Amino acid sequence: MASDGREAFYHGTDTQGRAIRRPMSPHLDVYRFRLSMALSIGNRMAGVASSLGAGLAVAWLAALAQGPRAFSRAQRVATHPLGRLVFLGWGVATTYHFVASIRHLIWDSGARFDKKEIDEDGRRSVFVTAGLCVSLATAFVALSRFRSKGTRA
Amino acid sequence: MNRLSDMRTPLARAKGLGGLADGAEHWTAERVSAALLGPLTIWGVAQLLRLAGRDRKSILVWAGRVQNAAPLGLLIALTGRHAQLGLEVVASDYSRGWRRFGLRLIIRLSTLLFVALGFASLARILITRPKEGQS
Repeated sequence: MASDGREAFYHGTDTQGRAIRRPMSPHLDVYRFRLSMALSIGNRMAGVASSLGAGLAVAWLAALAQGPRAFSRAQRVATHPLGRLVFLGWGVATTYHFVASIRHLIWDSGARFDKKEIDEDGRRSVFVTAGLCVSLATAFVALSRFRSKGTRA
Repeated sequence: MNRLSDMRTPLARAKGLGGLADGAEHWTAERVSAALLGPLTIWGVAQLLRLAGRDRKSILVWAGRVQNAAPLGLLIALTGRHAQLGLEVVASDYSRGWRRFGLRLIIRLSTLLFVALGFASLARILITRPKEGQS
């Protein structure tokens, strides 16, 4: 554990008088699982994943600017099954982060803070994210198949 | 930062405790960049669908148009800024002291590099773009 001002409060002695590190009160593990906590940590992880994916997207743009050879190399990576999985993951992360951000901006205005409203909106955000992901992914795959067929013919 | 609005003790400020030494501005900048990214992201997704399955030349023609290059540049800049702010919040929640300082430095440099690479690529595309008629 990193050295930290709180460390000063963890010095104690046991019944024999020996110096010990005092136990920490239980905190994270005493809570029952709730959807809201998964959605909150999920939004944070989605934000980090979305940033990493954006880095890859800019690398792709750099390859596009570089020349035909760099671009075909980038496309080989992007259309590899693993590349497609990463692209899908980036899309899902960004979509969820987008939906959760709307909730956050609503919260910042002071609305939808009741427990019932938070639960309702949480469930809605899961359905909206799933719906958006499925329809966008379908549209992307259908459009790219349709167009690449057109150029080959 | 306005010293009158800083509620921390001088010691706490010197130790860099609190929201990365500038809490409120950081928080506001995160929301403002998020709100601006909303419409830009929708635009970006629409363009992605428009370009899906196209060859390099048609993508270059698309990116070479000012009405596409301008929002794309803005999208890159705001994504870099918003990623920097968000990653800093995450890093400052799970790290302290030198580790926090180091992570902050890495986040700042890499998001700056992200924007620089995006702008340089966009500039190169705009300079070397193929003529629209030839596509």
